[in-house]
Amino acid sequence: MRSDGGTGSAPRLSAITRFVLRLLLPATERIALQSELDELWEKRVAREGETRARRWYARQSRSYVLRLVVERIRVPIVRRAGMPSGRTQRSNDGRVSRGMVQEAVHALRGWARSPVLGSTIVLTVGLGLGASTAMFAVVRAVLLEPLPYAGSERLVRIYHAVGTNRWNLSVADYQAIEAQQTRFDGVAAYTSSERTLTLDGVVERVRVRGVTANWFELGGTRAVLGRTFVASEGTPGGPTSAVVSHGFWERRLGGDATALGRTIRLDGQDHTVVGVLPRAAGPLEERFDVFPVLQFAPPTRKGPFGLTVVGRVRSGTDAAVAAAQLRTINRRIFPVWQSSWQDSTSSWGMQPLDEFVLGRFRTLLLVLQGAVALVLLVASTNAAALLTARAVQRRMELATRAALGASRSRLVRLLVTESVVVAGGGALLGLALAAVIIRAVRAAGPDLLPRAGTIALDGTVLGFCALLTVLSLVLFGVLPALQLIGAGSGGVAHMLRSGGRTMTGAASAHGVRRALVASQFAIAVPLLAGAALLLNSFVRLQQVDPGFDGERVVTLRIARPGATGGSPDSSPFWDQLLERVGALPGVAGTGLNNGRPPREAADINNFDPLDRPTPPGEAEPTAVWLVASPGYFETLRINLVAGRMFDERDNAALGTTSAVVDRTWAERVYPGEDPIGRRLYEGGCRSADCSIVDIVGVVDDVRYLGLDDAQQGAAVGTVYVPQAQWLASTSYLFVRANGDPLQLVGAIREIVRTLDPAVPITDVATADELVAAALAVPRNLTGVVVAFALVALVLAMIGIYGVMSYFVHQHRKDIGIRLALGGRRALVIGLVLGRGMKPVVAGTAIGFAVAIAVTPFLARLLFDVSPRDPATLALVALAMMGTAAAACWLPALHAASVHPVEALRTD
Amino acid sequence: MSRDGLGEFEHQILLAILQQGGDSYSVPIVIELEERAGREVTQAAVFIVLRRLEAKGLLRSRMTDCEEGASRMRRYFRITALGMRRLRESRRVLLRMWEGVDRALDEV
Repeated sequence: MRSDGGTGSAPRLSAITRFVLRLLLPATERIALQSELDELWEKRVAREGETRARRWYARQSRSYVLRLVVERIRVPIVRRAGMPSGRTQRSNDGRVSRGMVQEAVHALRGWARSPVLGSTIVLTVGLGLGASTAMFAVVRAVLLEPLPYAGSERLVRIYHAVGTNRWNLSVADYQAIEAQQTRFDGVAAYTSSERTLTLDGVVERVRVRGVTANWFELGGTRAVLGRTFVASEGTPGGPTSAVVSHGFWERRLGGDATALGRTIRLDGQDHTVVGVLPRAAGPLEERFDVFPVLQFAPPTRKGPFGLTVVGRVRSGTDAAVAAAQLRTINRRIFPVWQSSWQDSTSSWGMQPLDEFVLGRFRTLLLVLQGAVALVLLVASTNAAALLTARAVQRRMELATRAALGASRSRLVRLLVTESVVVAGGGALLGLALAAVIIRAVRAAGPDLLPRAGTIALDGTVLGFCALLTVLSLVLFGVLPALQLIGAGSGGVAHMLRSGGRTMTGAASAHGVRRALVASQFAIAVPLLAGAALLLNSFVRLQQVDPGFDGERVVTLRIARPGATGGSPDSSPFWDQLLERVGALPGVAGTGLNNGRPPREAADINNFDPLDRPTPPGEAEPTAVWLVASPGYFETLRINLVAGRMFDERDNAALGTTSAVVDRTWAERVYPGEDPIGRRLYEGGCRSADCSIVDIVGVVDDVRYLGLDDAQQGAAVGTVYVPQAQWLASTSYLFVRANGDPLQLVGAIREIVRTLDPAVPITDVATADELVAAALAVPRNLTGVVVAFALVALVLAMIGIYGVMSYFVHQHRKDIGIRLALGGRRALVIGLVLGRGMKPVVAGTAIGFAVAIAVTPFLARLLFDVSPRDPATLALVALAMMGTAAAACWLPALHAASVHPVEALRTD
Repeated sequence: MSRDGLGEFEHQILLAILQQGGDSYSVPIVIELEERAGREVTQAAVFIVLRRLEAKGLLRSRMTDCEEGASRMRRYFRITALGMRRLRESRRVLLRMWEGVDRALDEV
């Protein structure tokens, strides 16, 4: 018998079948079932050959999954309805539930017969549901939940309004508000920095948030171990205490009670640990390790402006009243600090704390939420179109059922059940997808998104998913059913007589499908327009010249604990570092800068040219203020435009500081003039003993405030002062290599370790990576929106293709007659294309009206592109029309190739 | 659906077992059904209906090792007295229903 190549061994049941069998059947039962199936397989091979037998086996395997699952669901329901298993009784309850079950069984069987259609709907609706559900979970946790602080709805951030900028406050400001305000429960402040921690002989960089002694009390945050601060710790000379995060406590302090009272050293200063924060910290604490208490010495001048100040408006006090009081206090103290701050137009203002903390994520998240909602809408509309088509195709089957006595309501129920089954599949897939997305966002943590740790797939989110499923089900499940009712109006006999192709019914169904296709385009256009705008913006952002040549350049952050700017022992360290690294084989250049392009400006400082002082009452201009070594410019190949670079002349600590400015600074401050030799005050200081800055050179622009222009308004340009005169305690080392720059990192670490073992190296990155990192957020956002837009586009194309294929199929005869009577094929192609493009044009037009209304919401995310950029929108229109025409082209060609005689001969 | 609660497929399977001598397992039943009904029958469908009929008390089953080895097993089903009664009843009802209409059908 085993002649034709032998039977080989029987194929294995699919993994899912084996899983279902294991789940539902006892072992002996499974063994018997498998043996009997193998026996059938052998007979099948002998009879039909192996190829056909394999197909048969696959069908058997699928059938087991379906039938066992259905049986499993059916039996308990039937039992609960008070009937023995099987078809023996007809209690009213039993009939209803059994009807439902039968319909579900029937629906599953139906889908098993057209797996492509079913899985297309499950996949696309599932994608829409999953992405929408996940985005809802994110938006709810990040934007909608109130901040986890006491009286959070009354918490405000108090800022210094200088022009259109919102600066932080200074110590002088903060102390004045604290002493004089009466409209707040309290005000508190914090600073943020990275500092070098020394603990148990290990040196590392930690994220530090210095807070005023009343900070935790104001927010209502309690320590889980120990305590938060008391007032005496906030006064100068008081104990220098620190509270630590839960994670830091576990990681570095052993995670037990002995942590309290331990001493940790931050940048050379000792702090005593007095408390541990809860694991679930608020968005203002979650990214930080250590919270040392801030102690303010009485200020001698107005600046610098390094404090973020938060206040809680008294209950029952109008926010406007509190804001007015802030402005009054600001006016009152203006004369006190006039020697160091002359801008009388600046004042204090306040904004809700949640806006301050979450504002920049709001647009981003809402744009994504909108995009995924549109995907769900397109997917549901597409499903509606597919199911309507299916209902029309099945008219014969349905008519037969009606003729055999099925009531119309029963037929409608049958169709709705089919949709319910598919929607349920979509919902399950969607939930799985949402769970994966939520897990990924949680894992990325607060560095990606504030409060990421609180995002959860909880009851509310599940409820939202269920609601979306029902809405989408109504959209795609009800239409085909209504279609059927409409079709039934001609009577069952009519349906049967026309072989299921009643022209009136088919025509109206075709109209519905065309309307659905038009809606798909109307929904897809805004999504595509948004994606195209983001893509255009991203391309422009990518083309922005960062101003330096970063090829084969590596940068490392080097921080000297305890060494503050200007300390006498600092200089040799940096000099020796540059010298030794420069001597390494394969090094082409080295330099230092305490800022790092394209996104890290170490400082923004105000200045005042001696020869054109800022008029009284106006704000001094500000510039990005960087401390660089002579080699920095050469290493990054930043060109000298005029004057000279730093050299030995700048090494001596004279009464003046040399400075190199960038081209933009020179053009803005001295338009049309030579800036070389001009002199500046800096930092608001303008008395005789202030140091004066001498401009010695002009270099090309380099970006330090990001590649987009969002922050460029904060500074008129860049001022570099020499490392030799402005010793910085933390700096970036820039090294250009002849080969792979990362190969040098080990040797550089070794040099730093020999020079000073207490100095940590962090933030190792090539210059190219820095540019890529600056583009990461727009790249990811653009990628996600473009992907969603493409899904919507493909669905819309499937829609129009389906409609036109069906149209051509239905009209084969007419087309055949036309061709038989001498009609030209080009004419037929034109006819089909024209008919297909009608709903496309209509939908696209509506979509454009919508797009023009909504794209301005994107403005904050766009760079160098108007949210209604005509070129981009025109391109989207052309692309939509072009792809739609291509989608109609195949059915049109098919129509033109209809053979007249054959078309007439069929039916 | 007839009044005694036997579905068409249940009915066919009982008859197939009877054709096999009243005691059989899924393989010959599947083959019997495919040959007589002229369409493909999945083993899963037969498997489930056999269990259902057993739950109704119309069949009784037993596991047997078959001769080819311990890993091969079969579940044999035998029609119970109740099953036989149901079949007889349904045959009687059907024959009465067909009386006089056979010729009418032939003429159509």
